Formats: sequence, structure tokens, C-alpha cells
Amino acid sequence: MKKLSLNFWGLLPAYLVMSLLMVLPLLIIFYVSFMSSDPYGGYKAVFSLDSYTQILYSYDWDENLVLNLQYLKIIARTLLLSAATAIICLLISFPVAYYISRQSHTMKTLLLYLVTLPFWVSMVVRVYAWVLILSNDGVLENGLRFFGLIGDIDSLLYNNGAMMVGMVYTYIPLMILPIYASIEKLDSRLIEAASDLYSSRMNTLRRIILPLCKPGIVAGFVLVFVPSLGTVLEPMLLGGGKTMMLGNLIQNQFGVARNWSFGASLTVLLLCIVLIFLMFQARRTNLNKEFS
Amino acid sequence: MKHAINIKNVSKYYGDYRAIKDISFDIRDNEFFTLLGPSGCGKTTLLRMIAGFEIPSGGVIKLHGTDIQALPAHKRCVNTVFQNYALFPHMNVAQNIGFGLEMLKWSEENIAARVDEMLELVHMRPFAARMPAALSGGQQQRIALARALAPKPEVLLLDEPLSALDLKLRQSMRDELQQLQRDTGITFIFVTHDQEEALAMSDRICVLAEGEVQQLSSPNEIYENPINKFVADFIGETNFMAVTIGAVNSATAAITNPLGIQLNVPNAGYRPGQEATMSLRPEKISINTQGLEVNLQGEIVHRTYMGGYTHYKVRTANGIELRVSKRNTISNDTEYQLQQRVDIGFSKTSVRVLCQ
Amino acid sequence: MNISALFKPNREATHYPGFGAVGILFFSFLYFPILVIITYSFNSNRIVSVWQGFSWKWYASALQNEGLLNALQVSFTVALFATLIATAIATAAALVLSRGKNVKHAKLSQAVVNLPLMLPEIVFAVAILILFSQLGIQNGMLKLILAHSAFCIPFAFLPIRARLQGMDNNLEQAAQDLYATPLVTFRRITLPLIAPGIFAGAMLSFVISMDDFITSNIVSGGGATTLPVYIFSLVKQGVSPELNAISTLIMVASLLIATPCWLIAKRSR
Repeated sequence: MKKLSLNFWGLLPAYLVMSLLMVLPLLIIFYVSFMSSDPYGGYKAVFSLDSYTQILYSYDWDENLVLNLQYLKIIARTLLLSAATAIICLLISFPVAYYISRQSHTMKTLLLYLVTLPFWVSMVVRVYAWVLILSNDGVLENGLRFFGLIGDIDSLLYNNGAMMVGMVYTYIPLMILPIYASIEKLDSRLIEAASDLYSSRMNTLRRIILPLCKPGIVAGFVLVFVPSLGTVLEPMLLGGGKTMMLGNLIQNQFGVARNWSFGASLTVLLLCIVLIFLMFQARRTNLNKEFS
Repeated sequence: MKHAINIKNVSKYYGDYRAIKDISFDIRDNEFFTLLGPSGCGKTTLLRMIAGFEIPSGGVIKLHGTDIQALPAHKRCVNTVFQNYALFPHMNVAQNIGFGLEMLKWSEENIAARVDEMLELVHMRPFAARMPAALSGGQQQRIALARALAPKPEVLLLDEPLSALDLKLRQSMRDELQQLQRDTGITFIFVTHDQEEALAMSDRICVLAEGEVQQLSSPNEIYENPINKFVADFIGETNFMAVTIGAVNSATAAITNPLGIQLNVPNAGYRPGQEATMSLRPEKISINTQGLEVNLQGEIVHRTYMGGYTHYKVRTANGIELRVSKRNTISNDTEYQLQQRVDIGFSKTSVRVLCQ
Repeated sequence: MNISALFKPNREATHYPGFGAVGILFFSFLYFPILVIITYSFNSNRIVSVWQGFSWKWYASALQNEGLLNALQVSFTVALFATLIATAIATAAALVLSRGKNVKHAKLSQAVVNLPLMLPEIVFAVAILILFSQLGIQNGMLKLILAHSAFCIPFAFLPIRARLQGMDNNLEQAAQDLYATPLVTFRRITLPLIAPGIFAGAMLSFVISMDDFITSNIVSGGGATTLPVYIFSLVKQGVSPELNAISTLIMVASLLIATPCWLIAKRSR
């Protein structure tokens, strides 16, 4: 028998775990999404596309298919909120990352530590902090009332805005770190050279700094956008359960609703969105690579 | 004469560290001016202050008579060739050269024409569409030059532009730079730590050390009449000997020296008994040559063959080791052997006495 | 950070006015919620938003909360096992991928190891839920350990791999040049040098496992509730001073883990 190399044995456990616990489950999801749902929970091993049509249509009392925008709305909200989260994170992160990169070595170390520290704190706790701040008679409401800025208002919680604040808060370090890395790599002499060649600060930002930091910006965008698409926690705590996102919808199908095949088809849909986005980004990054 | 740059009482502090200590000098129009000094002497800081990347802690910098302190870098009519060229990696050669013109809002046709002219000037026309990463060091250097010259700056600043090139290329770029300066008639301010480069190219050299001007003069003057020990040591090679000033009259001063020779030099305000240093360049000393003012006996103790030159170390009768360099003018020239006894001689006018 | 320097006009080309202000606002945004929790955890009033006076009592009651202590025990056990499994697998994979000779499909293997990073976690969570139900695995603890081991692998892998890549290949060659066998080289040179990377990777997986909510929330059951899932159930019941105290305790614990990790990672660079 041919002796298998060290390389083989070293990688074997990783392949085993990943194929058994990641790839196989995904294949099962794919399979279940084409099965029909079982009114008693789980799924029936009968081929059906119902779970996919269900995303757009539902049956009325007379068993006719009618357009049902309920789920489409959730999907649209998920895409919009995720994109908005990523864009807001980007708008905040770029100046912050640039600011950090201009500090002394000690200050840089300290500020980067401060950026990463919340990461180590439980996500549930971090989102809970915003419940505490935004809730009725919470810190923010009381503060604003104290300064006479608001009178009686509806709750600051349980809306899209609150969800987005929570998402930005959760994911923003993922945006800052790659952007910071790309700014650090940028030779400050290029900025000086541009300014030497009569370019104003805004022009240098637009023509030199941003194009050269694009890899970091793209990486940060992916790192924020992809997990945002699967957000579960923020809608439950800050959106109050009424404003659902795709992640919650999927979770419900495997929980309360016990409609596995519908849940599976939604999961496949989410996966497709992620893959399309990643492929699109990969193509753009490849284009960028031609520069270097 | 109209000055391209006036520097008056300029200083720069970084916290408590004084990088530039109250410097004043002028740079003439159309000259090739070199700031020469060891690393950390403040030459690059000075250049960056002229460019507008650093702000002086005190003093005034004028460009053709106008105070430019209030102008940010992007509004100064000076351009810089950076040490590592700082070519924009995401733009091609033509876009790099045209960048400054674009910022100055030149029309597209004018930019294209000027870029073409610049490419021609640096012999890089076939490379217009290349990305900087696809160019060799020497080619990047030329593009950096073209980019900085394209907007027709009043003064061109060059920050050790040759230091990243290999020796052969460096030597040919020297000639090209000099030619370029003459052709364009632009004032060049060149920063380097390489004394050979400075001597070869400059109209005038300003030697800097520890944030202060040591000497500002023509290359010849700097080499032949260094003002102090630092300059004599930094530029070229020399033999130093500690000496004492002896009898002094209004015209001359006698120098008591370890070689034990009679030596009188023009009196430059010496006091009797003053400690000083005597400098004698190795190439001013000849071996076994007739008819020199000073003659000494010695023994070859070390020899380094350099091709065009041979460097010898000769120990004199009173135990002083002198470095002597001899041009190998004739092939199969007599090579002196180790331990060979030789006569060495030099002219008294070759001796310099330095007080600092 | 010199505050007065912020207001001094700076003409340096690399300086962008306003970025500093954004930076300060950002750090306030990042730490304000944390400070709010800590402050209110000391409020003696049962009504969270009305300050009554300083008190430690909510900490006392938090530490006696049996549900909390049970959840902590579950989380700790799961994190410990998941970390051991993930770190061992990741170390082996990282060694092969950065030191192995003629590794076939290195790019694919890298992608396989990092697979969990490329999917939204909810996808992984429901997928593995179905797998467990198909296989009929009932034991909550086992389900949690298996799931956590899988998604912790890339978090353990990345610091080890970074460490190996930052390490001079010549060191190992120098050891072999000095007559060390490959095994001795590994034990005496490679292992000590990548130890900080392994430590960082292990700590990162531990924290990721301890913090995980999405997967644990879906997979758990069968008597195993992790800490984040338990806290979530408390948050669903509403804001409470005891919850503030629990959150503060968790943050302090995170800080105690994160800081030495950060220092070791910094120093070893």
C-alpha cells in the first residue's frame, strides 16, 4: 500500500469535520428544500417546488395561488438594512481608520485595542445595552427629555432604525480593521506627492487614497454585509419581533412554524444571495488586482 | 541677483529635539544646489519644509521673494522627486505624469502634449501605457522626474533620488540630471548624503550637520578649502594630525606638527598656543617624486589596490601613519611593496589648518 | 491624544480635518452603551432607569442565580471541548498549508478550513440542526460541542497561520543544517515559535464559542442552555438591574481574557 504523506494526515481532520458538519448539512438543506412540507412538522420525502413558490405566493381560501408580498417584504428589508448597515459602517470607519493610522505607535496600539475589545464581549450583552438605552423611559429618552428636546414620544425601540443602530454597533469593528490595514500599507509619500502636484485634500482622497484602499474597503464591506444578511438577534431584541429579517424567518420555520422545507428553501435563497454578492465582489477585486 | 529661495532664521523642533537650528541662506536662480550631510543632519527636513510637507517652528522661507509660509504644499510652485519615487501605483506612466497638470486644470490637449514632451525628455515615450510596477528602478526614476517637471515648477526638489539605484545606473543618471537641469533652466535643490554625487553635479553645495550649516560654497572650494574638521572629514579622504599654533606674526603663523617639519601658513587669526587640526589629502602626497617642498622618509605598511588607484599607508620616521593615494597612470607601473622604504613629499600649500 | 492639537490648524498634506472628530464620536458610540450597563448595574433601584443609590446587591443576587450558574457551566464545558478540538485540527491544517511540501489543492483546502467564515451563521445553524435531527442525536451537550468545534476551526486557524507565515522559513532550515532531525526541529524550533499563535487561536475560539448565540439558540435544547441563550431569555423578559450586573460580570470576564491575549499577540509580533 502506498504510504500516505504527512500532508494527508494533517489535513484529514479538517476535511472530515468540514464535510460532515458543514457540507453534508448544506446538502441536506438543499435536498429538504425540494421536499414537501409536513403539516405535523419536519418534511415529507415527496418532491415538490411548493416551498419555493411559497416565497412569492400563498393559497387563498379557495386554494388558488395569489401573490403574497409578505415574505418579499422581509427579503427586501433584509437587503436594504444590510446594505445600509454596511454603508454606514463604511462612512464611519474610513475616517476612524485613517485617524488611527495617523497616531503615534503607542496610541495606535491602544486605539486598535479599543476597537477590538467589544468583540470579546458577548454579542447578546452588547445588543442588550441598546435595549437599555433605547427602551421606554430608557437612558436616551430620559436624557433627551431632560434637555427638553422631546416631549412624549413613541418608543425609540422596535423599529428599523433601532435595528440598524444595533447592527452597525455589532459589525463596525469588522469594517475598521481591514480598512485600517489597507491605510497602513499606503505609503504616506503618495499623499505628499499628490499634494506636491497641486492636488487638494479632497482630490487626493478621491484620486489616490480611496482607490488604493479599495481592497480593504471591499473586504470590510463583505465582512459586514454577509453576516448582516443573516442577522437574527437585533431584530428579535431591537426590532421587537414584528419587524423580521430573513434570518428570523428562517429560524421560525425550524422553530415555531415547523415548516422545514420552507425554511430550507429560504436558507437556499439566502445562500444564493450571499454567493451572488461574493462572486460580484470577487470579480471587482480581480479587476483591482490588475493595477498592482 | 534674484534668489529662487531665501531661507531666513528657519528652525524646526520635534518636541525637545532641534532638527534645524536657526538656518539662513539663499539659493540662486537656475543653479544646481545640493544639501549634503550625513543622515539625521536635517537636510531632508529642510527640503520638506520648502515643499510644504513640514511647517518650520520659526523663520521665513521665500520663493522668488514671496513668503510661502501660508501656502499648503498643493499651492506651492515647487515639485518634488521622492526618494522612492512615490509613483501612483494605480495609474499608468502617462496618467502619473499628467496628474499635476490635471490638478492645475490644464486642458486635455495641453496635458497630452506636455506628457508627450516630458516622455521625450526622459526618453520614455514607448512606456506611456505601462503601470509603474512594470518598470525598472531607473525607469521609475525617470518617470518621477518627468512627473515633477511637467507642471514647470519654479524649483525642483530632489530627495536622494539616486539612492535606490545601482552604481552604474547612478553614475549615468548623474550626467542626465545635470543635463536636464541645464536644458530646463529650473533651479534644482538636491538632497544627498553621497559626497561624490554632490561634488559631481552641483553648482554650489551646502554642507549640513546636526541641523546647522557647516559650509556653503562651490564643490571645488568645499573640497580644497574645507572650513572645519567636519567638512574636511565628510568630503573626501584626508590625513588629520593634531597641531599647535606656534609663533604668529601679522602675515603668517608657524605650525608645530607631529611630522616635525617647518610649516608656515597664512595667519587666519590664530593665537599662539592654540590647538588645531592639520589636514592633508592623500592624493596631495607623492611617492618617490623629486622637487617637492617637504620631503620625508617612510615605510609602506599597508596597500590596497583599487584599479585606477592604489591606496598606501606609509609610516614616517617619527611613527605617523599617512594615507597616500597614487594614480596608476602607466600600466605595469611600479607597485611599491609592503615594508619597502620610500620617500614621500608634498607641497606646503596642500596643508590646511582647521581650528574647529 | 492631545486635545488642544485637535483645534490647531494642521496644514500637513496627510492630515484630514474632521476625521479626528469622527474618531472621538465613534469611540464614544462604542463605549457609551458599555458604560451605561456598568453604571446602572450599581443602581439600588429595581426600576432601572431611575437612579436611587449605589449598591452591590444585584451582583450578590446574580451570583446566586442558579439558572445563570448552570448556563455558565454548560458554556464553559462546551467552549473548553470545542477549543481543544478546533485548535488541534487547525494547528495540523495550518502546519501542512504553510510548511508542507508539494501540498495539492492548497487553495481549496484553505477555503474548506475557512468555510464557516463565508456563510451567514444562521445558514450553518439550521443546516446542522437538520443533520442532528436526521442522525437522531439528542444529547444537547454533544450537539453544542460538535457545532462549536466546526465553526471555531477558522478562528483558531487564522492566528496560527499568520504566525507561521510571519516566521522565517530559514530558522527551520538552519536547525536542520545544524543536524536536527525533522521531528526535533518541529519540537525545538517550530512549536515554541508558533506557540503564541496557537495560544491566540485557542483563546479566540474559546471566546467565540462562549459568545455564540445564533447556533446555540437553535441547536440547544435537551437540557443544555448556554450563557448567551440564557441571557437572551432574561433580556426577553425585560430590562432588569440584575441583568445589568450579569452583563457587567461578563464584560469584566471578557476583558480579563482579552487583555493578556492582546498583550501576548503584540509582544510576539
